[in-house]
Amino acid sequence: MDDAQVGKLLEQLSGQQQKPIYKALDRLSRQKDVTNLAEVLEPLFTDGQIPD
Amino acid sequence: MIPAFAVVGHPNKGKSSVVSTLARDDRVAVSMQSGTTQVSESFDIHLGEAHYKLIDTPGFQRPRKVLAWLQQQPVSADQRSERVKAFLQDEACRQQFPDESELLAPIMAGAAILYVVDSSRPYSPEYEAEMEILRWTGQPSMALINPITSRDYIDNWQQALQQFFRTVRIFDAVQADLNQHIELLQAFAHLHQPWSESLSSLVSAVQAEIHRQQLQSCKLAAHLLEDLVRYQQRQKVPDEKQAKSLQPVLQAAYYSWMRKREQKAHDELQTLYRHHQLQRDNTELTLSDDLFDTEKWYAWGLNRKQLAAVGGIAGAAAGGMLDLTVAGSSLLLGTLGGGAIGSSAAWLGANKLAKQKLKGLPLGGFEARIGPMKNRNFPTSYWRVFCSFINALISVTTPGGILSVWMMLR
Repeated sequence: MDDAQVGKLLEQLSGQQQKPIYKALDRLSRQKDVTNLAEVLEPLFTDGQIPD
Repeated sequence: MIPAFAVVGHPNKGKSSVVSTLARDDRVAVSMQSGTTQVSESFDIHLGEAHYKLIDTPGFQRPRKVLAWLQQQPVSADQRSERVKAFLQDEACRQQFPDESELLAPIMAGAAILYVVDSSRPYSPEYEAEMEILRWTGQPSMALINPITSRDYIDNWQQALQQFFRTVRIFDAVQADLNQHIELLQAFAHLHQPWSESLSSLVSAVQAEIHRQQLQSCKLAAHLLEDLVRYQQRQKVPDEKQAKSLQPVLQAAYYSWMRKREQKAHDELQTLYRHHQLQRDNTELTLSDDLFDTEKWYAWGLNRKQLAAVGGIAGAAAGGMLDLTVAGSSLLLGTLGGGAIGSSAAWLGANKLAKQKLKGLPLGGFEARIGPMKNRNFPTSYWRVFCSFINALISVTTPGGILSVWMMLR
C-alpha cells in the first residue's frame, strides 16, 4: 500500500466517522453517555442502510 | 370466507418452499411433512388482525388420465367446475387418483390457486393437462415461476403459462426479499375481488411487522452495545493478596457474562425474525489468524469501497511492518482520531478488552475489578459484526438450517 492509498483510506474512514452512528459509538467507546442510541441506529434500519 | 391459497403443481417443484417462505415463520416449515407432500396441509397465517390460509398440496401424478376422465362427458364451460366436483365425489376416482383428489379438494372448497413451476426445467406439454384441470375448477389462479436452480427456461414458461393464467410471477422462494414478498401479496389481492380488502390489510400488517422488527432490532442492538461496553465485575476482599488471586476468577466471570449477553441478543433476534429452528454455528473471530483475510476485515468494519481502497494490502502485508500497522489501523477505526495505533495482533485479545484494577478501599480492604470495556474500537467493530448477523437473519428464507455467526466474544 503506497502513501496515496493510505491517505485515501484514512480519508474515507474519517468521513465515515462523521456519521451520527459513528459519533455515538465513539462516545460509547469513551464510556460517555449516549442519548438514546436506539434512535441513532433507527434510520439505518428503516432506510435499509444496515451495513452489509 | 378467509382468503385461502392452494399451492399446487408438479411434484418437487418447490411448492413446500413457497409455502414456508410466504408463511415467514420457520415453525410452519418444520411442521410440514418432510419429503414429498402426500396430503394437503393447511396453515393459518396470522399477522396482526390479518389472517389467511396457505395450503400445501401433493403434486400432480396422473394429470392426463384425470383430464381424460373429466372430458369423457361433453360439458359446457359453465359446467366444468361441477364436473370437477363430481370427480371428487366419485369414490373410484379418489382411490385411483389420490394425489389429484387431495390437491383439488381445497380448491373446490374455495381456495385460490398458486400454480408453481420450476424454471430450471424445460417446459413440456405434459404440464398442459395440469393447467387445463386447474382451469376447469373455475377458481382464481396465479402462476409462480420458482427458479429452483436456474432461470434457463423462464421465457418458455412465461409463454406457456400466460395462455392459462392471467397473472404470472417469478418468485424465488429461497432468494425472495421482503419487497418481493409484499408485491406477491399485493398481486393476491387482485386475484379475487371479495378478498381484496382483507388481503390489503394483510399487506399493511406485513409492512407493520417489518417496521416493528426494524425498531425492535435497533433497541436490541443499542441495549446490547451499551451493556457490553459498560459492564463490569467487582468484588471486595479483606487484603491485596486475595484481591490478586481473585482477578482470574473475575475475568472468567466477566467474559462469561459477555458471552451470555451476546447469545441472549442473538436468541432474541432469531425469535424476532421468526427463525425459531435456525441453528447457529458460532465461529470465533481471532485477529492473529485472520489478519490478512479481507473478507473478515469487511465484517469487522470495512465496507466494500474501503476494501477496494486497500485491496492490495493482503498480498503486500505479509512481510511488511508498515502494511501490518496500516492493516491494524484500518480495523481500529476508533484509534484514528486519537492518533494512536495499537498492537494489531492483540487488539481484541481477551486480556486487552477491559481494564483490570485493584483498588484499596477507604475503610480497609481491597476491591478487584474488571471492566468496563477499554478497547476504543470495540463498539464500532462489534456494531459491524452484529449488523452482519441481522442481515443474515433478514436474508434467510429457507427453513431451519445452520447460520454461521462470527462471534467476537469467545
